[in-house]
Amino acid sequence: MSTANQPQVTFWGTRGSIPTPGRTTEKFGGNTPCVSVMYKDTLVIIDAGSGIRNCGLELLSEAAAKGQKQLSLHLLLSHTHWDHIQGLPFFGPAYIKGNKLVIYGSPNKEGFLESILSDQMDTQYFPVEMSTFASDLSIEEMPEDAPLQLGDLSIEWQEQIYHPGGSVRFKISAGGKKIIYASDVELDIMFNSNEKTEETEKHAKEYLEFIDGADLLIADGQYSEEEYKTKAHWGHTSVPVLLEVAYRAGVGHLAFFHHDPLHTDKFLNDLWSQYSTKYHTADPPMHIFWAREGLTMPIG
Amino acid sequence: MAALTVSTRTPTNFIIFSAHQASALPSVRRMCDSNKKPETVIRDREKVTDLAKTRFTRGSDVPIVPPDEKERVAELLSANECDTVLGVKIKDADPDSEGISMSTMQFSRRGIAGEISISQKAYLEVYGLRPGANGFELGEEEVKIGRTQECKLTLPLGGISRVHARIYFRNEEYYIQDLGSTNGTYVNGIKVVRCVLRNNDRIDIGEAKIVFIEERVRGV
Ligand SMILES: [Zn+2]
Ligand SMILES: [Zn+2]
Repeated sequence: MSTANQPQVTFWGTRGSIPTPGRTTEKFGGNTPCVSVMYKDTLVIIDAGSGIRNCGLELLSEAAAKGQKQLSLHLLLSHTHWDHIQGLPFFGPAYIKGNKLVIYGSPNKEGFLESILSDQMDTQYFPVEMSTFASDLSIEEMPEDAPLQLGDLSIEWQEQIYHPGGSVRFKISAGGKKIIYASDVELDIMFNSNEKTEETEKHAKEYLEFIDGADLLIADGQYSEEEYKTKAHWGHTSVPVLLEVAYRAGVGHLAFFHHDPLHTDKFLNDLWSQYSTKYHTADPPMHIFWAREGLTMPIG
Repeated sequence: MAALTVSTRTPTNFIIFSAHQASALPSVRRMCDSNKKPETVIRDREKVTDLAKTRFTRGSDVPIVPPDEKERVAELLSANECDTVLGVKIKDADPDSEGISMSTMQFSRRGIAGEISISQKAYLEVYGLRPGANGFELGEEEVKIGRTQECKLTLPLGGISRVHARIYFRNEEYYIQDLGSTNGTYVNGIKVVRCVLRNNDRIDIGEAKIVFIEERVRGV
C-alpha cells in the first residue's frame, strides 16, 4: 500500500535526560525527545528536546522549496523537564514573522507553562529572550473535556503521575490509526506485582485502556531489567515490563524511547536482538524496535 | 569519494596512502621537496607490507602494538583502494625501529588529516541478483532503485516497483526514501517513508536484500 495517505511519524530526538553526541550513539541518535506526526496537511510536534532543532531546519527548508510563506505549527509538551524543552530556543520557525506556533501543555501547570518556558530563555541562560520569537506564539492548556482537534488529527491526553513532577501521555488518532506517545513514566510501579495497591491497579487499567490496540506506541523503556534493580522510583520503565504491558494491550508496533545516556548503539542493538524474535514470532506478532533519530515511518 | 586511507591508529611515522591521492596533498609534496627527502619511496605493495611487519614486530615475534592494531594495518594494506601503495621511509633512522623513526617524521598526521575533508566511502551490498553479494558504490548523486532501466540500481526481482526508492546524500548523510512503492521499503525490518542510513543497516525491497556499508575516515 502506498504511504502517501497514511499518517507519518518522524523521530527527531530519542535520547533521554541529556544530549549524547558521539560515535557510540550515532545510530540511535543523541538528541533529546522530539517526535512529529504528519497527516494530510497537519503537523503536530511532540516535545521540544534538542531534536526539535533539526525538525525546525527541515520545516524551513521544505517551506523554502515549496515557496510556502507561513507555517502553522502545533507543539505538544509532555512535561517541562529540561530534556523536553531545551530545544525550543533553537527552533528556527519560532523566530520567523508570519509563522504561527501554538504550544500545548497540561492544565496542571496552573498557568505557569509560559513562565517556565520563558525562564529558560532568561538572559542568564540564553542570549535572547522568548519575546524575540517573532512568530505568532500562543501557549495553551490542553482541553480537559474533549479531544483537541487539529486539522484531521484528534488528540487525547492523560496525566502520568509515576514520574517526578508528572508528565502527560498523548493519543493521536489520524486516518483510523492510533499513535501513542507515553514517555517519562515508570510503568513498573503500576504493573509490578510487589507494589500493587488499589490506586496502582486503577492507573494500570487506565493505561491499558488508553494504549489499547495502538498502531504505534512510543514509550519509555529506558532501563534494562538489570539496571532497573538499582533505579526503581527514578521515574522510568524497564524493558521487560514495557514489553509485557504493550503486548497485553495489543500494540502493533512498539518503539522504545527515551534511551539512557549511557546506552550505546551496541547496547541498544543487543537489547533488540535479545527480545525481538520472541515478539516477532508471537501470535499475534508485535513489532518492536528502538526508536532511531532520522527515521520517518508510515503508520498503517 | 574514494577513501584516502590514512590510518589514525598507526604510529605517526608511518603513513600509507595511494600514490595518486598522495600527490594531491600539499604536505606530502612539501615533504618530498624539502631537505628531509624520504630515503625511499616504495610503491610496491609487498615491500610496504614487509615494512609494516617489521615496524609492528620490530623484527621479533613480539608485537609492539596490540594485535588488533596490527590487524588493522594489514587490513589497510590489503584494502582494494590502495592499488598503488606508497610507503615512506625516512632518513636518519632510529636504528631500533628498522629504518623508520618518529623524530625524523617531517609531516604530522594532523597536518595531513587537516587537508582532508571527512572522507566517506559508502556502498550497497545487494543480495538476490546472483549468488553472493554485488557491490554498488554510492557517491553524492542520487541513486534510484527499481525494476526499470531508468533506475541506476536496477533490480529485476519480485515485489519491486518500477521506481521503488531512492538513496540521496544530504548534509554528509545518506538517506533512503520510499517513492510510493507498492510493497514498501524496510530498514532493519521497519517500514520507512525515509530513514537516515547507518553502517550495516539492512534494507529490504521486495525480494532484494541490501546491506548499507559505510566507511568513514575522520579528520583529527
Ligand atoms: Zn525525559
Ligand atoms: Zn522527565
